[in-house]
Amino acid sequence: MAAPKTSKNPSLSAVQPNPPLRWREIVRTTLTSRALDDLEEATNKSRANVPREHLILYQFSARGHEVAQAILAELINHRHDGVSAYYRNRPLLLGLGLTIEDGLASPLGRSGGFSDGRDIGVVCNLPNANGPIVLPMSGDVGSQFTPCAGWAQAITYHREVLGEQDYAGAIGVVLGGDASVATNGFWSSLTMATTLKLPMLFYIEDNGLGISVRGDLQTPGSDISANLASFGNLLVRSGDGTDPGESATLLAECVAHVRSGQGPSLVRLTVPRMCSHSGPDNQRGYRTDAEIAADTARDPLPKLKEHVVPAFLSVAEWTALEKEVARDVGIALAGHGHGQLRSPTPLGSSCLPTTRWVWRKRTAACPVPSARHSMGPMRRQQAASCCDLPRPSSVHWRVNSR
Amino acid sequence: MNPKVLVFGEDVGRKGGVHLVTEGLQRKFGDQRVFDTSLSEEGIIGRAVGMAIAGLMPVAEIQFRKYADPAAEQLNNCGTLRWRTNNRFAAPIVVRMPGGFGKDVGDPWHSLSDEVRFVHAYGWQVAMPSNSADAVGLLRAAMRGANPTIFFEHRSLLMTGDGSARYPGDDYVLPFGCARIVTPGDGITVVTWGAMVHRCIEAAARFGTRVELIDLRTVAPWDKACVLESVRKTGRCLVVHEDNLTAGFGAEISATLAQHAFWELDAPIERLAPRDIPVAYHEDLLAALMPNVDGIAARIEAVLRA
Repeated sequence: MAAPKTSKNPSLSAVQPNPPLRWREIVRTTLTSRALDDLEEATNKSRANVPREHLILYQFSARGHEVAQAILAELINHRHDGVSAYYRNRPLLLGLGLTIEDGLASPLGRSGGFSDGRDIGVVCNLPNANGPIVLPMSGDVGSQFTPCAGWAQAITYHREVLGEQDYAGAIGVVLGGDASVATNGFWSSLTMATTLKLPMLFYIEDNGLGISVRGDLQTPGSDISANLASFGNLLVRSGDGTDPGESATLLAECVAHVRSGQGPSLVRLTVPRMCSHSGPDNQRGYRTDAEIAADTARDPLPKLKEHVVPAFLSVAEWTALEKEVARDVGIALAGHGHGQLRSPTPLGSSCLPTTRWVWRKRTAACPVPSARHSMGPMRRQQAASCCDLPRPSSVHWRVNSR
Repeated sequence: MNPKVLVFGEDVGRKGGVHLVTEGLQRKFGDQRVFDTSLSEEGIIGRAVGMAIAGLMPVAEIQFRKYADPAAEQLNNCGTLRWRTNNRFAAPIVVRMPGGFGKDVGDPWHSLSDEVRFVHAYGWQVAMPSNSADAVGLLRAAMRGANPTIFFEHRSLLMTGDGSARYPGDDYVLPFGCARIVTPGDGITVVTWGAMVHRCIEAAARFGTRVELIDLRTVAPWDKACVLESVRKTGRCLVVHEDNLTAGFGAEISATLAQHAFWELDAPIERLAPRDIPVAYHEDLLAALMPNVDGIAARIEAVLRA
């Protein structure tokens, strides 16, 4: 097969991912994300004549951001890696094991999924008990940063104080957009990571817009990597997030640096925003046609195809993957279809599942001294009240079908 | 000792905290378990959340209640974390937070006692101990519990024997939501918590066995059953607190009593609290704003006569 296209970025190092990237999986993740965005953009509430059973109440797209996230997902492969992300990072979660069923169920507001219909569909989490974890996202930009620093410091604590050597090489990865670098959380976590030399990677995907606000109001010159060039204890890299080869090389270098214990790293990748900020937003109100067209022309998907075909996949294999993804998304959508998703909870019941889990209820008048010193991601709990009904394991049990 | 417990915050390490609550802990347990943080409260709380999800038991200190303002986002997100992930995740951290007026001084920055703010937030339990033994028992329960906890330490109590001298032993655990009847009585129920307990004890002593004084110990959850039972017996109730009168926690107690004990009441429910004015610096101004022993006694007298 022919060699993949190489980048002209002079800052690229010779670090290559080890093990080598699975480009087939990167393609699958990218195509899946794009298919879900296609579907959701066509069925969000702002559109006319949307089938009620497929209504996306609050839709956010990752269009244009997928390829670099899919590559990053391939590099997050340590059992104790922890990721703290935000609403445009569903591609990353798809690469880390999020099923298409859950990826669709949550925007549709069904039970199960990330939140049992309680939170916006792209405000994700992924417990992954035996693999990389995605901490619960929050809907407020900037709040994802400091919990990731806490995770990174915990990695060090597990290894150095508790003697758990399987934490060696694990990292925390936080993702943010270009506007997130203006937040308190970004600077707070940057201080923590750099002063303590935490194993933490900052991944900044720069699409130039915070909803409608340009990047030059978030950091001088719109480039956080340039402004952090002299920051201590921080490896800084910047590149084109639509170029698969360049993205892979930069990400591999930064991840390797953090895993080696040399301290944190920040990588900024420029990406296009090929959509409005969200379903209710209309970017034509604050962007020119030329600006929108320029971003559309930077679509990373054709570049991904150019990068992997024929170097890693044949044309037939790419086409087969496209069909496979379309089939899987179709199956998942059919599974969430009208008629299969009705709530088993009687209307008017005082035991609506949504009332559960504000608290973990006490089971006795006095808390019993417990051996529960390891919190960890909480798995399903035993029933503790009338409202804690046993739940079917099937993904088809969906309470919030509309 | 549980090696997964970590204690951190501004100045808690080498100095032992500006209130000296963690004095000597770093020497005893090392600087990776007991450590100073950068001056960012958002960082302190966000760090605690990440550590808790990673399986550790963080006990974070916010140096003074007012300094929790920059951490509001992380605190609120922590409180909803279990619910919004449908119990896939939880971060039952403990946040120690000194506040309230000092022994002889107040001010708008270090003396806030707006506990109702955290009661109103989703998912938090809130302890406001009035003495060191309760503090030990409640702190132990908080660290063993499954919900995040605001552990409010009153500044004036940290400076007194009541607040810092008595250690009840290694096995002492107090459940949340269990009030203490400080003095039994039959004429009026006085409900309070935190530093106001001591002023109420002094005021109640002037009325013999007429006052049933209840120390709530925790305001989220709070011991409704104890208060209702007492008020059904006495027929009268006065709530005393340091937080603002308007929408202070006394309003919640009053509403509960009005709903569930209305027919047992012999007098209107009364509240005594600062009248929505920030805490002042000079001791005369501070004294004029805060409920004091004479004022509490006068209000008890009035309710008894009503």
